[in-house]
Amino acid sequence: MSPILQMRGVEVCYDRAIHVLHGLNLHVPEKGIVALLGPNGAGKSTTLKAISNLLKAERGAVTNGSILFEGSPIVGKNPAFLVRSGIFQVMEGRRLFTQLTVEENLRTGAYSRASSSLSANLELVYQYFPRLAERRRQKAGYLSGGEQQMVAIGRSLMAQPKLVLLDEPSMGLAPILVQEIFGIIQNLNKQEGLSVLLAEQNAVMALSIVQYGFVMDNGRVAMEGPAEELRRDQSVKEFYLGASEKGEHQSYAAILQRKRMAARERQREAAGH
Amino acid sequence: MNDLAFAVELTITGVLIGLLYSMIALGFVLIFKASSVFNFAQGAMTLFSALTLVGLIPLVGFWLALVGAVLIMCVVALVAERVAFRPLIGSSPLVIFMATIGLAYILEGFAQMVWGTQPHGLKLGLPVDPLKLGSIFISKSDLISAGVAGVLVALLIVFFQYTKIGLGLRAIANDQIAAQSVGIDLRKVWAIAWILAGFVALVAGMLWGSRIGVHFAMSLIALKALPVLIIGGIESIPGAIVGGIIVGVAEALGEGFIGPYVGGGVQDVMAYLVALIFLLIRPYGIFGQAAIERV
Repeated sequence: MSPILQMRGVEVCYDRAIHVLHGLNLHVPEKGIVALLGPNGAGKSTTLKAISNLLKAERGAVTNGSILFEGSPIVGKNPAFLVRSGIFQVMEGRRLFTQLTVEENLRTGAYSRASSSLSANLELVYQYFPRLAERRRQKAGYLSGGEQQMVAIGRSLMAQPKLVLLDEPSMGLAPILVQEIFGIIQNLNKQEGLSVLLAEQNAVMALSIVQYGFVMDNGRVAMEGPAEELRRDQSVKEFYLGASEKGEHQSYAAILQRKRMAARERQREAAGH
Repeated sequence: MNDLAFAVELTITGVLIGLLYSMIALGFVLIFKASSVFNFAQGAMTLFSALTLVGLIPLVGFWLALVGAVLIMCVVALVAERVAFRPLIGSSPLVIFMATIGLAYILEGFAQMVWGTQPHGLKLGLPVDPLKLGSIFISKSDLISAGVAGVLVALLIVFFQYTKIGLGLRAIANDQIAAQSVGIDLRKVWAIAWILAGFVALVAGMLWGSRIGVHFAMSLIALKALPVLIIGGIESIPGAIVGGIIVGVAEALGEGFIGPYVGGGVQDVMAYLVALIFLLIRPYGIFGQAAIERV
């Protein structure tokens, strides 16, 4: 199937000085669910913001490469246009309008849509998140973290998106809530045919619901593969489960470094001796 | 009894003038809500719109002049947003604030170029004789001005609370980047906020112009908006109203009761005195939003 999203050789620069992405390649299949994994500072959020073009507000810009959504280039398009086209980013930290009520927050999600579809979409959101229906008149700032994440995801559904970019939906949530939220994300993918790009540090949870994953390190995709493969992969495991056989914490870079050294060693042996 | 009647009369006058202060403050609130920018040019916009109105009246009559002034303010607002503020998206608030200072000078200079530097009278044909209630006198023209201000405020509140663009404006006021992420077009909503601010400036300019004449000191009245904003809270429309009334009443009562003992001039300090007290006890204003933070 042709991908709904394709990024080729994408480079991103903040303040025309700080390079964050160095030639990123990534794709999300139509109606697929894909994880973007990697440690803090690997460039996951930047990748999502490059797609949704929310970089400009942080003085960032895509300086090279191409991003195709449904086959057409989208670099530099106005964020509002991208939402209308069907890309919706659920930002890290939920970013609700804390002073607005739950329902007003949801209605902002439908800002790019005709008001005729509003009530049907609200219905759909309340069906997935019944708890929000009870709290519709409450100020969003006073909800619990889990409920806020539900509003954030619900708000994205209001825009009738084709591709949702989820940035760390597990952040700051209790494991049981993470499970609930991830279950809903999986359902949305299956039942509504929503394409999902899920940026997560919680690799174990993310790999349990996605089909495919990209592991980022230092602004590049360091590794990619089907979810089961990544789940089994020793270096991913070492990195994410935090400990190697020796029982010490290692950075992904260190693990890769070791791998590269070993490969070079083998090459040298094959060539020289 | 006399003192009481005097106090009531001063209070009513204070409320009516206070609503006119609110009108000026409202322009600041609109821009601040939409873009978190303190629009230094609001006073200049008030002056510019009043001068435009006064300049057009002899040419085409009052109503056409009013329509013309509304259109011109729309154009000014759109050009300012497009040329000065859109390119600065993402810049630090200080940079944008400086841009509003630049805009203020350009507007004042442009107004002088086109309409000259002479002060103008603006006659709206409001009645000059006071309304007499027992021993209390109330200015009819103040009453009408306050009524106009009240209607405009009510319309703005309805607009913010019940329309889609109003929802967008409130969302942007709350979190600009999140507003972009949900597909609210900052450029469109900003343009609308600037047009509204231009319209409010026009109404304020008209009402103030009919009171004190249209001249360059008018852009200084905008400074009166500062204490109003401090008292009411800079992101609140009701705050602008209540703040304006408090300032108006404090001025009238201060001048009426304290003024005679110190030789007058109390009026000019009262607003800042009250603002100072508010800064100490409630720095985000009566209706200002203390940020909701989860702990």
